[in-house]
Amino acid sequence: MEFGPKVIFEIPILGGIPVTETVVNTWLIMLVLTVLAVIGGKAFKKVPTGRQNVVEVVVDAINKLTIQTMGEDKKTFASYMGALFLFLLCANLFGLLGLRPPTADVNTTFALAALTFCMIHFFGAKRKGVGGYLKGFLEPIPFLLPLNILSELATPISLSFRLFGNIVGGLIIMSLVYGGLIGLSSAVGLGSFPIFQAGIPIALHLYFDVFAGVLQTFIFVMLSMVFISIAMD
Amino acid sequence: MASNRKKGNVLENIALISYIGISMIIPIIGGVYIGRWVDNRFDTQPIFLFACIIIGVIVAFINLFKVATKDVKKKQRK
Repeated sequence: MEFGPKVIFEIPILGGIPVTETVVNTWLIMLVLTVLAVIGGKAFKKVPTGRQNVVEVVVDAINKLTIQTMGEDKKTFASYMGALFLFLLCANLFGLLGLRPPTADVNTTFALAALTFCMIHFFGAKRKGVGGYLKGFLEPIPFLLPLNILSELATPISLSFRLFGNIVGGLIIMSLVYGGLIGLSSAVGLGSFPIFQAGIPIALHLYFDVFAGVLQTFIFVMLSMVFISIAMD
Repeated sequence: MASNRKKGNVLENIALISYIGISMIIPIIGGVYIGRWVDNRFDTQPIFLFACIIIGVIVAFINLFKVATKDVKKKQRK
């Protein structure tokens, strides 16, 4: 069984750049989020009604979480954290639609973790000054410099591999279960109409897609916030 | 407000607890891979493997120390 992302088409430059399922599904999520943002951000009234209430609840929740975790002085990060949260939430819940979640590809998760990594070091250096920031690597004793650098490099790897591992593990188990249910259906003589695929995988979808997906989204965003605020304090 | 702040801390600490395990295992596995690669390249069988594993263990403990003492420093400053 193949679990890697399928190549949908190739861009015919530089000897063919393969465009995988991951990228196409990411485009779909970008489209959905952009349309929602355009619809949600239109025509605000003084007294919110209907759609505006929903948008305000989401924005308020993200603002509050950012202020609680990072402190009042860093609430400008709410925009990045909110975008990250909504994207990861949509991506992890994408398996519910029967499509491959983009986060089941280490390239996606590592790109997001690399963004967080750059932000940690950029804002750390900006807040403390480049000299003071680099001096932090020599603490507590200068001898620990290479070890401190390695310990910083472990952050994006552990962030990305945790999310990737959770989602791809769920994906593999789900596809094995669906394959097994086809076999079970043909064993009772319903090979062309796999009746067992209806209903039985719901419990697994609840655990792997909804529970693990939402939890890992939350943990990724939370850890990004914590690391950036540690670097800036 | 006080209860809000506490709730935020609980969620933050749960996220950090779940980070402890993976932040310790990644440097050690990284050390194993780098050590094996260097050993194969220079044909010095177990030397670099052991050295890199030991470095990985030390880095794992530095990570653990950083996560564990994150709030201690804050309290001292106040």
